[in-house]
Amino acid sequence: MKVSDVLFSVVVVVLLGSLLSIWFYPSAQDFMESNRLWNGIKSFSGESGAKNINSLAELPSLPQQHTLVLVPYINPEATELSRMKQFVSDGGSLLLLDDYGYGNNILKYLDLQVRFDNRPLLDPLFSYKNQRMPRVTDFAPEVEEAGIKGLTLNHATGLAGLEEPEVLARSSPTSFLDTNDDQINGPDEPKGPFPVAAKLRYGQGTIILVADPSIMINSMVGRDDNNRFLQYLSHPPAAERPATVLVDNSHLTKSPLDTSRTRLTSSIEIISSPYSLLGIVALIFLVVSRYAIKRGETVG
Amino acid sequence: MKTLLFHLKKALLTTTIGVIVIPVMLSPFTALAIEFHEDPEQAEVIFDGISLFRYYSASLDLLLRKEPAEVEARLGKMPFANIPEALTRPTVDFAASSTNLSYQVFDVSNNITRLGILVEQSRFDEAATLAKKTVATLVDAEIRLNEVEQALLTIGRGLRISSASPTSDLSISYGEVTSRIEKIRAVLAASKEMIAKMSAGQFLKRPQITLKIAPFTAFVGDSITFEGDLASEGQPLAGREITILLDGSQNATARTDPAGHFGGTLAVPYIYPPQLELPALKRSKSGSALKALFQPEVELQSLYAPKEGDAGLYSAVVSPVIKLNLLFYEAQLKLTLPEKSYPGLETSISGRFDYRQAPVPAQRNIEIYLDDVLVATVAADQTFTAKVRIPPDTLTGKHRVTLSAIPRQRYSPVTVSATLNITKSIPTVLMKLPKVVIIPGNLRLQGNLSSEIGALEGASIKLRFGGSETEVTSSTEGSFDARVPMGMGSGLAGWQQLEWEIIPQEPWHAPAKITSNLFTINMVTGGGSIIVLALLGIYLPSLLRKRFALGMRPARKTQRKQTPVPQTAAAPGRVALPSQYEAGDGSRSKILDWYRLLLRLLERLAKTALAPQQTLREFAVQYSKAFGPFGKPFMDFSRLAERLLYSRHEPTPDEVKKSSQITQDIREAFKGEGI
Repeated sequence: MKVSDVLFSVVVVVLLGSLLSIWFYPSAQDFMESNRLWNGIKSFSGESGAKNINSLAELPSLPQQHTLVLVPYINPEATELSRMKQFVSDGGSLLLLDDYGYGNNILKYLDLQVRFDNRPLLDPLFSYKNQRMPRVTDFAPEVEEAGIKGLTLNHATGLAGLEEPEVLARSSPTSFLDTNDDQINGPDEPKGPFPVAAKLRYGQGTIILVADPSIMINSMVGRDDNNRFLQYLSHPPAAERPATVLVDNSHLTKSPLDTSRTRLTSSIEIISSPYSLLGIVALIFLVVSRYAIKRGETVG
Repeated sequence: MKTLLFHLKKALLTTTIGVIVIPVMLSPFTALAIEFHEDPEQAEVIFDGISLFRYYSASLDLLLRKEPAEVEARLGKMPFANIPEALTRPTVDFAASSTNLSYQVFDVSNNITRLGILVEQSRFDEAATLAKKTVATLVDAEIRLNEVEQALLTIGRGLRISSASPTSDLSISYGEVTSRIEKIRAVLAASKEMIAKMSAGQFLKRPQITLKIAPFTAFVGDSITFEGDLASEGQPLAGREITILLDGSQNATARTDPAGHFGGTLAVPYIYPPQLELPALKRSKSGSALKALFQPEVELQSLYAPKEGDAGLYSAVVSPVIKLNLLFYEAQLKLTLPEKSYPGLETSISGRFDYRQAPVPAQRNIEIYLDDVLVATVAADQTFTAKVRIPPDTLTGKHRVTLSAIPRQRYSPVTVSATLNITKSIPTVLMKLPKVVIIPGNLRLQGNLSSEIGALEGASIKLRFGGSETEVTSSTEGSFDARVPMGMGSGLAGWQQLEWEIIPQEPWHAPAKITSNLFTINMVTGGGSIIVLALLGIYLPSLLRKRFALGMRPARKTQRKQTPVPQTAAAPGRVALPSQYEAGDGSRSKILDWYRLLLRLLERLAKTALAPQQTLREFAVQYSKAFGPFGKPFMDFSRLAERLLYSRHEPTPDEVKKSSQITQDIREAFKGEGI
């Protein structure tokens, strides 16, 4: 057996092994739907029947009864901002969860006064295990009526620039914004309570802001009423039927594995198209025919 | 091979170094990244006693400011606080006791204020009763305060206050809580002292006062008369001011005449307490006349509070309570809503008042609320229908409609609610779709958009078909005329989906998405496919036949070594028999000579020559029939000839004999051919 044959076989085996690993190995990246670990959102996606979209181009042109869940850890481009605006203006709901990402760029584009504070919100008393996971117990009446009594956040921030009727939830009076990141409640640091969730009308649609995307992750969604709160925000209570929840993956930071999986999925879709299939069939036919003809020439 | 292995090892070493070194170099940069969250199961547990004590201090401040509802709200959130498990019980005790204490302090404060007023008015009987009750509350409050203090001590022990530095924030914050507890203790003590002072030395003359009213039952808004007497030790007290209390509040005044008698009229207030149909009414013989009436009651008393010269001489007195039964008319309001309503359109809200036996009033004002927002005010008769426009931005779904009839004199307010279903009308498309569509080309679609409400004016219609898209707008009557360009595509024929997206302008119409399937025939690819198939069907088989026919040729490489046979250049159409055999040596050459003769004869009979690519066997198969009955023997002879030519086979004597025989037989049979 020739060396070239051996090398070719090795390359094929390695390639197949890599493709299978990429396809089947679960993601460990934050907020990935396929991630079953503590930092994925497998539970939330299953509970809400969410569909994942890899581009805002997949947003429906009739956005009523649709809720777009967006965690903007990658800065959206101008075309994407325009699509978002159109989606909400035409009646869709945008559930924007952010703490230290690019949510303010979206709010600025939409010409809204509200902003994510981007400074850590800590609560030394009302918290789970430590002050970086504050617990929220102050809600607007309509949220309390939905049976929501408490939330547990995880490395959250606050919201600023809101009108009073827009606020859905606030942190406790013992919370503070850690402006110098020293984990100590300094005398000059802003003291709570701070809004952490809000709802605004925009065009025919709604924008819902939550100052902590981490309430969606597997290890947090089951704490206190986090899941119920997310369902309340995703599905408007007065609506005739539950909304379709779309989770945007395109603005999440991805590991090389996730990027490879996305590309592999795209490749499979391209190969599955009629033209590609026809080409592959023709190629196989030619190879087999050539082999058969060659074999036929040696018979006799 | 060695070189290849060397390069492989080099590459592996380089890769290994890179995998180890690069992440190490990048680790400082990754460490600077923001931590978006942490695993709660692995999170560090940190308790903050300072925040807890400061929270308690702030709560006790609210207690001292006599705001019990705020205290309860703050301490009610303690279950969500981060507390060591061992301190759960004392924190619960602290919260419960502090909450109870806050209400007690509030009650005590209010009672002391009231006590002062009573004492000022020389209403010592009432003051004494209130003082006794307040002292009991104070005793209980002291018990609660002790519980609060005990809970705080337990928490302090749990957080090791004793080992903390006295100047530490923990000790300071703990000290602030204990100081507030002392303040509360001081407040309770001061309250007790105040009550004791107010209750001391009340030895005054006690007059007697009476009160009568007529009638005992009256409609709201009507007037009743009252009268009574004021005397002390049998002597009338003239010229004194008497206050008539209605449910404890001043309602009217009168002055005693020289006989100590007082009287007057007062208006029954317009109050409509919650309905209670008294059982007595149901059993009343004249119940039918009274069924419409609901009879709550108010309490009336007359009060004499000594003033000026009487102060210090007489104590204040109140008469026994007299109950006045109130009458008013109560109605039921039946509300009728349509099955569904649409945003932006008027909806009819109907109602009917049922006054039962009561007289029917003239118009009443009714307020109409949609989800607690006032949308209309109408003046309604007993039966009415109001047209209310639903706001265009109202979301679809169930909404609450509330009708509230404002109280009017003897008529109490009426409120009724019902659920209104607000929906949007689904548009429908009326048009005839073609059965078959030929592509490429234009697809023309004409039709009409309408709904149960009416035509859709100015609606945007997006059409998608086979990758093409077009958009049109409907006319005032809802009609549209669209042309969808259709590209060539790759398919031959089949069903393709036509998608409609309808985006209406009116808020009462819902957007819609409709799909239809149309059968398409692609003229270009269909025709091309037919041509290709025809070419393949005719040309390919013959090509393949020729290519596979080559497989019957002898192999180029043989396994056995053959004795090299010198080849001579043969004349076109002749078999090139080895020249050495032409010399006639041996049986092999003889047989081949005889075969050559017969071959020449056959060529003459068949009028054709052996082709260069033909084997002897092929030629024999094709033309041996010309030998008639000798065809098969000639076939056998041809096989033998090929064996002799292309192998090392030596003919057997039997084969020599047979070959000779067949040659003679054929020569004999065809001797006229001149061989």
